[in-house]
Amino acid sequence: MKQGMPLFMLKKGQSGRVIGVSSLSDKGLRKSMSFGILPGTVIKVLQVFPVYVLQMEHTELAVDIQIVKSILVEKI
Amino acid sequence: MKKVVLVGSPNVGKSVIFNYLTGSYVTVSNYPGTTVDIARGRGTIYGEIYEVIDTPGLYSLMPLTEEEAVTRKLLEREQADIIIHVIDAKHIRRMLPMTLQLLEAGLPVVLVLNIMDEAERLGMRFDFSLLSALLGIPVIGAAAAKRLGLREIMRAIKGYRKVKPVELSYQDTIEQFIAYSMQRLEGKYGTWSRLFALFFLQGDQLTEVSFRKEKCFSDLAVKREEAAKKYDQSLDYVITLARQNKADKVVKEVVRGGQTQQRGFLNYLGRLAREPLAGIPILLFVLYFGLYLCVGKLGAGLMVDYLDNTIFSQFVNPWIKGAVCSAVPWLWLQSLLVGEYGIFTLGFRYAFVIILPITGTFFFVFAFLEDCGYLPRLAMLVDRVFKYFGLNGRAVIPVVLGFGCGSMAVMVTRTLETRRERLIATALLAIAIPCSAQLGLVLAMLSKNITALMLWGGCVLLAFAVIGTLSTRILPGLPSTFYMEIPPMRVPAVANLFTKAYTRMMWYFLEILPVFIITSMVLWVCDFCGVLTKVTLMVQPFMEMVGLPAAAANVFLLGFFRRDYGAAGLYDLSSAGLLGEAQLLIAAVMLTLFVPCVAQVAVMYKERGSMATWVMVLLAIIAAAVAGRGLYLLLQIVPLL
Repeated sequence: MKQGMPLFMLKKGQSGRVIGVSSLSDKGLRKSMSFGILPGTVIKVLQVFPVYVLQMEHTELAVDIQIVKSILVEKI
Repeated sequence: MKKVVLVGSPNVGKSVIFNYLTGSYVTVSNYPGTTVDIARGRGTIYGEIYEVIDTPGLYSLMPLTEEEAVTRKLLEREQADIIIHVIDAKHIRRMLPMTLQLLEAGLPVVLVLNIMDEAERLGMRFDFSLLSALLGIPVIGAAAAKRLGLREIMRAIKGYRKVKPVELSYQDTIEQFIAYSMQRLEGKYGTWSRLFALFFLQGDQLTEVSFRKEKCFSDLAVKREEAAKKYDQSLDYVITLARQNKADKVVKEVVRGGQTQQRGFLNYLGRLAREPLAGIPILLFVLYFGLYLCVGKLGAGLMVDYLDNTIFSQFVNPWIKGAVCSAVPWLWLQSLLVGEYGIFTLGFRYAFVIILPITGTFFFVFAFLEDCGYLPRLAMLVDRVFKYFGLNGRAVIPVVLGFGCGSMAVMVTRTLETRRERLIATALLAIAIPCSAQLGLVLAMLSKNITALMLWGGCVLLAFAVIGTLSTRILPGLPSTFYMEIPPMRVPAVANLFTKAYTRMMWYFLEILPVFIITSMVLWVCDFCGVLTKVTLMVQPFMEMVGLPAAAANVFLLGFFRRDYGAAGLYDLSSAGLLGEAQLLIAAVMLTLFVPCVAQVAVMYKERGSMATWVMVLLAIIAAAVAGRGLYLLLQIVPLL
């Protein structure tokens, strides 16, 4: 298992590659998965307030901290 | 008749294609989740008539919200001859897994890569024939909003031949479970049985429900437990990942390029609108320009004035009155048609002169906001505030639409995830959110006095906060997590704005005109046999408690039939000079909070059930009474006006 950190540790403008998604609820997990947040996906943090805005390929996705907490990434 | 079903993620252009195939119109926008109902239409494609079905968007065949479940059930139930899966070409990597799900369900799929123009601008190149070969299904590139590729879609429908698509295989443990369950299941699942076995492993609720009826259910559940033990991650995760890997492989082979960054003014504006520093000023500007200037000043001010004072009062009314009085000898019929509560003088006049311009301008502004892609940005900006009220940013759409028409908005609360959120949103819509007709008239009446307008705004905001906070504390549960795709900002097509505003207008009008006419007839009957006077007398003490003249009782009676109708009555009272500044404010606040119109109550009843509806109606009456009395006392102590 690679060393990972939660996505919210990334600062605005930084990118990370997803290494895992852990979620307390199936629903939260399913939500992230339906947007393609899966191992290997590269996520760039565009904005952190009032909610997170993540960029994956050409998708801009606004998510709250609950979802961001469940995503483990390695910084690129 | 052959059936064609359009499916796909929200905001990929299904409705545009539907409109083209059927020649009819359903609402199209740049906002995920505009289609909350299934739309059916007929289209002639190369001489053959097809039934075409448009569905609410869904991200995966495993539904997360009610409207997504609607589409999934439709796919199971309807034996579609062709499923057109529409995806946004630039998001192919993310959307292809659902194509794979559709294929796993054994459905006859045609894949449409839509919005090709935006993908091409990003430098993406697609190998369509290879994609078609890899998946074993027809694949078409299109830019439906620009009218490109639509003929090809029609040709693909016409020439569709069922082929055997690729099969997707999973790890042994999962395949063993599939084989086992397909052997044991007794229900008729047709081509879906393989996908259902997978969904069962993934913990899909709908599958769980139908499998519960199976004799082998407990065996399956045990097998599922065993399978789950073999992985560190949940089965849902493992299966989704496998599907995504397959999609990734395909994408890698058929897509080239796509590194070009988006630039330009719209992109810049889109970024500004989602960042709080610039976003809040932009929001205030939208409110000021869209609501205050367009709906308030232009719609409710200028247009209502002109229609009422010039067109109707000077030309239409005298002419109709003259015509009716000379043609109809009976006094009672005269008063039914053109009397104080006459069908023409009250029903038609209110609908055409007062409501039409206000609601029309609102729908136009709303259409603009929808199509340019501003609303999702608004949703994310207000998410934190809405969380406080037990909702999340997604609720911004029903709430904003509620400022147009509450009935429409209650229907749109279906896009919210939990029953709790739907209840809270419905309550807010019922009590604290004025519809465009009310809003327009209140703005028009109070705008002469800025203090009164501020006080009114303060009262309504307070009511919003109180209702929101209360329902959050009373109803158990937590706000659900917020997620929303932020589409690129686009320049709206003017023709589409007009069509959209017009379609919503027509819906509204067809729904309200009968109510207006019935209301004026009911009031006429009550007036004729003296009931109206009695009811007015009964309500009078309450009116005195809040310092309103007896005549205002009528406004609330009218308001019971329709809120906008009541607002129009208020407008009449104030034009007649029967209300002072303070009284006008109290009446405006009370009417805003008072029970929603008949139509909205009916929609609430249908969507939320009788119990919830009655509680909300009761709450609305209490809120109006408390606010009215409180404001009356306050103004006595502190004479602000």
